[in-house]
Amino acid sequence: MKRIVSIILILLGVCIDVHAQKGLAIQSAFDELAVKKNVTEVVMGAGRLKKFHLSFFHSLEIKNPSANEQQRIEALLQTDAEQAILHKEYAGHKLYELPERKGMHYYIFYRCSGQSLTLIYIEGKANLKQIESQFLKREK
Amino acid sequence: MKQHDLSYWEAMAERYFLAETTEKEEAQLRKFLCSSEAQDSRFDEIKATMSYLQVSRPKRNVSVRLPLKAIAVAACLFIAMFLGWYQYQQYNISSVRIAGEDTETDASVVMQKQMAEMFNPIDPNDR
Repeated sequence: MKRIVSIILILLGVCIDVHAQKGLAIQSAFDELAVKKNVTEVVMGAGRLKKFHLSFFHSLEIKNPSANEQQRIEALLQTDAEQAILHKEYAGHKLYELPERKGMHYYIFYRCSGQSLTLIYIEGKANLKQIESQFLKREK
Repeated sequence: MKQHDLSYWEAMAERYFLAETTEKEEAQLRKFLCSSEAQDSRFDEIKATMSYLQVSRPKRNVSVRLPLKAIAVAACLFIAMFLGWYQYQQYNISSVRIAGEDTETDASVVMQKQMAEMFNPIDPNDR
């Protein structure tokens, strides 16, 4: 019986662990803002991202973000930035690479142009160069 | 088990018939009756009574344990199936939601547009 209870507990533990973005501050932004009228949320799993060598994509695009929304997201980003191993910032764009785990890379992208704000969380085996080349190439 | 002489066990058998023994004592008595020391004919009656009661007692423990085990195994299977289903959903998920409502928009197109924007300078007209 003890063995069975242990198996149940392990399975439940795995259930809890499979949530993406676990432990990141930006998770709150996805939870709080996704239901707002001016927000578009995109979620994609590994099955649809194979060709990009990614396993998870989650984004929020806010049209005409309010100052509050922008500040909230930037504050959450700042929290996650503390654990980033790479931080790039240029003209309205921010990019954070989080520590690699078991060959998986984790990235947070942020872009704010004034008229729209985009927050993206991605994870997968592709490194930053591969991601950049894939998406720049596709736009041409 | 503590060593006792036969008269001790004989007295306990008598107390057993008078329903004065505790469960612990009955367990000890049962153990003693299985030993070689209990070959004496003085213990035939108690042996017969105890074995009859043992055999005729309803097997409550067995009937309770079996369903519990079955429920636990079923729970494990259910959780494993749920986990498989959840992983499958996560693996194949592809959705675009506006204001929390699902739309027909192709998630792949939106994703590629958003990612391309991330690597390109912001259009001055967009400011």
